[in-house]
Amino acid sequence: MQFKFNLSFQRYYRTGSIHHFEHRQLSKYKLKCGLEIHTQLNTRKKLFSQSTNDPFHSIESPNVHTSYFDIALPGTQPILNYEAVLYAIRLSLAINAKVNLQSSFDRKHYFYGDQPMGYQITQHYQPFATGGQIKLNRDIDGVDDKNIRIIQLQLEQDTGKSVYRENEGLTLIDLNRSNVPLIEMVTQPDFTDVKQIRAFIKKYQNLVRHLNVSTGDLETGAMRVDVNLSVNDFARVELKNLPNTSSIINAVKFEFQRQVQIIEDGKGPELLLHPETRGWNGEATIKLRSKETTIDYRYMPDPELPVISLSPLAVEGVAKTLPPAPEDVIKKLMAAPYSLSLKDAKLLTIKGNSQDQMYTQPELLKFYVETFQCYLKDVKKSENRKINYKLPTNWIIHELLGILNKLQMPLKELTVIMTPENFSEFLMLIHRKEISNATGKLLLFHAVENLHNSDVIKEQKTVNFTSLIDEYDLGKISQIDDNELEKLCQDIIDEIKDKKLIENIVSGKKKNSIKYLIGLGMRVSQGRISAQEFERMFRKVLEI
Amino acid sequence: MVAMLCGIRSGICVGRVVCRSYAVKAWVGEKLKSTEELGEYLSKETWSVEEYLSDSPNSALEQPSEDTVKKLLKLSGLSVEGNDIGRIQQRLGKQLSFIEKLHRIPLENEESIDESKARVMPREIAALNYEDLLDKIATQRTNLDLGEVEGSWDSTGLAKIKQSKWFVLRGGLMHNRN
Repeated sequence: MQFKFNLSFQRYYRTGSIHHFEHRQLSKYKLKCGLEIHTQLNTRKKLFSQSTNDPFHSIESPNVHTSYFDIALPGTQPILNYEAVLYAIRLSLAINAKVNLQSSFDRKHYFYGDQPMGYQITQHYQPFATGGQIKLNRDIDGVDDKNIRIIQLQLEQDTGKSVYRENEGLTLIDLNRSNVPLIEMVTQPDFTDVKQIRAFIKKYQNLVRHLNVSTGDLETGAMRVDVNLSVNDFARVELKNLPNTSSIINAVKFEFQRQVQIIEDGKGPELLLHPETRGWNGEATIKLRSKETTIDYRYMPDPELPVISLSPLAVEGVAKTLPPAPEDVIKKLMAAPYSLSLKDAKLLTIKGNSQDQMYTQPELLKFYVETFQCYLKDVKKSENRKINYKLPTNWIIHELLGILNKLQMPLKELTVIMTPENFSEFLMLIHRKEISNATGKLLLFHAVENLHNSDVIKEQKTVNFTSLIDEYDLGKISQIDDNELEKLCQDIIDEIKDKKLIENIVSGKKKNSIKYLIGLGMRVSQGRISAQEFERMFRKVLEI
Repeated sequence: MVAMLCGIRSGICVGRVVCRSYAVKAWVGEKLKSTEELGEYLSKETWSVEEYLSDSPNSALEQPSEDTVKKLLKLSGLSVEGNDIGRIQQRLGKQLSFIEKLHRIPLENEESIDESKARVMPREIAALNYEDLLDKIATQRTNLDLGEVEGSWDSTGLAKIKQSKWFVLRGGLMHNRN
């Protein structure tokens, strides 16, 4: 809801620097915060109608995803979309909340232009789930271990979107978002530090993405966070209209300092006696409404909707389909045999903010793990049995994803043709040093580009790296001109500054040092000339 | 038509019986055979709303205060100006006495009634198991008759004022209310 700003508290705004607070002893001021997070569920359809749920992508086409019910035509009735129930169970289970087997919908009345029915259908008396917790931990979330308890989760409708045309005195309303399913999650006031708030939001965002119940994006409004805050147990202030993480953090910091100043001035009992709601204008928190203007929502059970009645079997069934928690997956990836860094483990597990990612985390993780297993097997069969654990990560995360992004090719299209077995074959070319890294990059790019541009995908053939090496002339040169090779070897010898090394090879004192020369030759030729050819030619040049 | 009226007739019977013993099943009366019979049936007064509105002993006490009426008007987005507050007090008082009377109706098994299920919808719903839930999702269909099919109708077509495909809310509507 949007309200006119009441400027009566203007004398407490501090739009200037707040640094002078830092010198003050703040430890005697105890911050206590709770969060209210609204999460848009990415169900296919809306909560109480079967019109399309896609408010973000339809932003340019207002009011296209609107049924008679969504715009509140008289006589229309809500029909519950059970997809939202399924998603709500998933999220409740993931945070260890108790799914209430009987929950029901209520009407919350208020008037605003983006709320055509005059009330919002929510769950006031019997919420969907109660209890639960999200644990923050040092290793993964970067803050001291902390348990944030959840009060409840409720299913409710989103409102429409308002565009204010101040000059014309008009407000434009788009109801594509009206009746989109939301989950409101309320935490206990367990936060005592802004760092915990930041870590919690990130973790919760990752969780909803991992469960695939929401995009979790703050920027698109798919996730909205309100903060309840109090200092030294004075009355609670609710902070609203915080569009992104930095607004949330800055608003909390500002409001904390504002209240500390009031308490220091001895005005706490006067000015912080009653709860109030404040907004954020980018620089300061601004009073929106206080006790006197608190809205009476006149909650009543919605008589047109049946209660949601679930058997314990429904909850158990959903529990079985839940993916392992992101934290568990990350820990597994950081342990042997994968031994990944936290950064890479997170990349394989947690969806980023990007809207146009060429893969989903489950797809990427599956491809990585299967490729890794194939690589382990292939290495065991090869001459060089030393496993390079970083090889699959480097080539999948740092190389392949970059190529897919460049070519705008989805991973799932690629993996039809380039299977984990195939990719392991490619890794083995590098493992056996048959091709250099530079050649490998070229080869992989050409291979993927070739798939992207050709009909190979339709024909469902698999990639044959060996034939590609031939095709792009990246393979070993079997018929080499002796004169050229002799010049190459001579150049290598001439480049060596340690002349003693050469003398020792020639004298037979350090026979094996010739392998060093061969290694240099392999590097220069990017592995395209065989070691035997080099040995033969070095011996000829050095006359040994 | 006749059958429908039989339904109404039975409904009326239920209405009367409800006040006495809260019968769960409707009682269906004899079938009306002709238009004349129907006319005769409808012309007979068998009950009156007044009967339920007038017998409250404390109807004056049940009238909401002037302040309550003003608050209700505000919550409902209606203007206080130009409204006869006294008349609204009286009418709301009557409605309250009617509701109060409904509350006083003796119910069978009153202790075992779950108020949370007091809805227009069926009260007892079989709990869904996992397969039911998936089945419900799989069988949900977009309904053209409910305007759910994209492009099947222009939702702003009915609006008096619109801009392109936006609904338009005049700012004045928001600011001038009491």
